[in-house]
Amino acid sequence: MNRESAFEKDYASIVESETLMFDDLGKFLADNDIEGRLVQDIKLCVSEAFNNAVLHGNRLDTSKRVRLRLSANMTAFIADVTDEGQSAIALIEKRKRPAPLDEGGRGIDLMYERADEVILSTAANGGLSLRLVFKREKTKRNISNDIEVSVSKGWASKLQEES
Amino acid sequence: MNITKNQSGNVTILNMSGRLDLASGASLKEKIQQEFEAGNVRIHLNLAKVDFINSSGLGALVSLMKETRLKHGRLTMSNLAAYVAEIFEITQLSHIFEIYETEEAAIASYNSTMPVQ
Repeated sequence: MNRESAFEKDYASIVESETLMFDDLGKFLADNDIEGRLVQDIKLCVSEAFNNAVLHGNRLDTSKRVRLRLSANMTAFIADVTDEGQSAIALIEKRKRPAPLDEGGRGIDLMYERADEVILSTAANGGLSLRLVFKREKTKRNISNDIEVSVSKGWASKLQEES
Repeated sequence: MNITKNQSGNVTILNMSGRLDLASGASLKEKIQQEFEAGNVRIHLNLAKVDFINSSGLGALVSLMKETRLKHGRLTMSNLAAYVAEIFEITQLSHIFEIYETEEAAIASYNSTMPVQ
């Protein structure tokens, strides 16, 4: 059986919503036994999508909301972040990498780097909907961690044998 | 995020803990502005207890670094947790910031080099 768990909430378009989002996300991940490195990657990517929605989508307009929907089953974790701004998918896709001393513009690249899938679409309300998909099975990300751990363990046991 | 402060010679050390994100990045900028106003432009950030950073936190650090340079000061960092260090690597900001393994190494660098102009 592959039961799905879901969470949905609307947040005000204010900077302080980020902390509420982190609290809700942390609880959801713990309730669904999502642990370790995957938690860090999910928190990073969801916070990037969420802050983009608050700052760039809704432009801190307090009359607009950001909707966060989280779902998880045994194979995947999915986050959908939807704003009420004007979806600008073409602009996002045409963006250039930030220059070294630019203060912004790194969030979307971090999402593409860390999530297994990033899907942009225009929501029914005309805003941007961003879907982040993370596989719970072994991915390249987790396998490389395992290799590091096994190498370290190898050295540790070798040192133990020698002492 | 909590920020505590101590002084080593003429270097102001800020020990940070928690998340460095949109809200706390703004708090950090305010805190360092206060240091600038007090004439302290040699700032070291010990990130040992920072367990999370996102692009908003990085943006705050870039902004502070630029302002520190304008004031002919220095901004150094040390003790990055593994995941935080990885984010600096991915974004290539590890090549832009002065990052040291330890606080001691960072402070020693102030005593052996001229401020960045």
